[in-house]
Amino acid sequence: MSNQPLPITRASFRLATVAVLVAAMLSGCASTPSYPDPQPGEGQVLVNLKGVPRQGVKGPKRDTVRDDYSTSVESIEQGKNFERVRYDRLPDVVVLLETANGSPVHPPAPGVQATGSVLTLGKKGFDHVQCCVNHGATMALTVRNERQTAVDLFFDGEAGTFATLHLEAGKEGSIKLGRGIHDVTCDQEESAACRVFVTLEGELWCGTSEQQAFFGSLQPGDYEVSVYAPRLPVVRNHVQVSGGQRAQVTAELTVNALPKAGR
Amino acid sequence: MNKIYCAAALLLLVASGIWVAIPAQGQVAPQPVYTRVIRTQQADFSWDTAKKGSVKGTLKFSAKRASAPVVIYLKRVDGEGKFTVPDMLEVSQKEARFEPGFAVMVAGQKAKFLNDEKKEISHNVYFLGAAEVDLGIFDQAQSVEHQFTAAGEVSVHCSIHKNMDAKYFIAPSPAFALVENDATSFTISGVPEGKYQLKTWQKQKRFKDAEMDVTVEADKEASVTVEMAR
Repeated sequence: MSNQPLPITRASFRLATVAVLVAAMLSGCASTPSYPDPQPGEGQVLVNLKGVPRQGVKGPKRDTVRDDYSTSVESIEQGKNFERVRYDRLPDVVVLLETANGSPVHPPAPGVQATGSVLTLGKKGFDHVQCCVNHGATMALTVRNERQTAVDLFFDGEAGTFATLHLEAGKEGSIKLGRGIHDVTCDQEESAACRVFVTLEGELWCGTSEQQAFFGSLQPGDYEVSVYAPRLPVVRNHVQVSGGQRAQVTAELTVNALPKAGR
Repeated sequence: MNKIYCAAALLLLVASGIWVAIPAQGQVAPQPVYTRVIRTQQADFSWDTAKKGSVKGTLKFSAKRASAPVVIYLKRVDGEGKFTVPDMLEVSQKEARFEPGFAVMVAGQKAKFLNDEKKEISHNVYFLGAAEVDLGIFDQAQSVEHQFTAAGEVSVHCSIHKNMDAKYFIAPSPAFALVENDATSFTISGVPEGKYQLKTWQKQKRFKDAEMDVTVEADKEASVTVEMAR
């Protein structure tokens, strides 16, 4: 048996590089989020989000388009107005977890910064249609104005609160918001709008309908899960959490459950 | 014989929901199932025959206002009574846009959503807010009607096209005024006499909504100043 290392040829190096790249791509594609196992005495809630298109909707009709040199088939629904809802990729879905008795899910720890609390106003409006300010020490929303002009923002709270924030061009500011849902609008642009969720006792998660909302280290007991997707009815579920267990809920984001009327 | 008449009368009264205490003569009166007629909030009067007055007012804004509309509406304290609802609102969906994209309607009024696309494009209509209903999917040249019964804000959407939205405000009665652009004065006429709450609703909320009590007297004009503050 020789102790000499195997010779690294250019071909074998290339092969190894390709193999590493392919492995990395495959692991990236097939990655499903992994969550820590629940500890004894603590439970978890995993909310599976599932965007479901309206029943009975067919794909857009297609038409043959001929020009001087070619023939092609394309959708008759062209332009921004006809963009379809992608239920598998609904953006800015907010999941709120609260205890059934109203006690805090996690007591706010001193010094913990609020999470998910930055909203940016760019040329095309806000970067989110829904965002959340989670429990924490600050409970403040930071708003960045990336525009070249000053803007005035209005925060209309569901509890009857009303607040304003003036931001100079290119500056950012911070505003303290009470618990609940706040509709944010901009005085300078009617189409810029965002809904901000603020919780003190509960816990918030914000992501897309492709993802799962995970809540860990929960005391055993009864919980309420509310899922808010833009333009869709709120989905509410009751969950019982046991120590050492992970409770799973599937929230269908759809209009199919709405009462039917008309004709 | 008298006892039979008394019993029959008692039965009739209980059945009609009106309890009258009969003097007990050695008998304990049975406990009634209910002791009074439960009326709904709908006041039993007609707008057509009622004596009417009007409300004239001025909006005072504490800061620069948006040009978006402000609705000033009256909500009668003892119920809205019977009024003639306005004609059906026709809503176009051409080019995947609800037209009108904003409207003020009256509770009881109908809206007709017409798929007037030039091509074979399907649409859906559903509402969130004061009405949460799905009107189904309808193809080109088809239409669907809906009657809005509850007052409040309704957002209108299509579940197929993501930018197809509208917003309607359903007023509780025809007693409302729409103030837009730079206008600051309003008149609500033809209002039956009675006690009302004057309220505001803003399409783009820039101020706290105002609320105040207003009494409308026959053939008189109630004058109000509505302060819109932040």
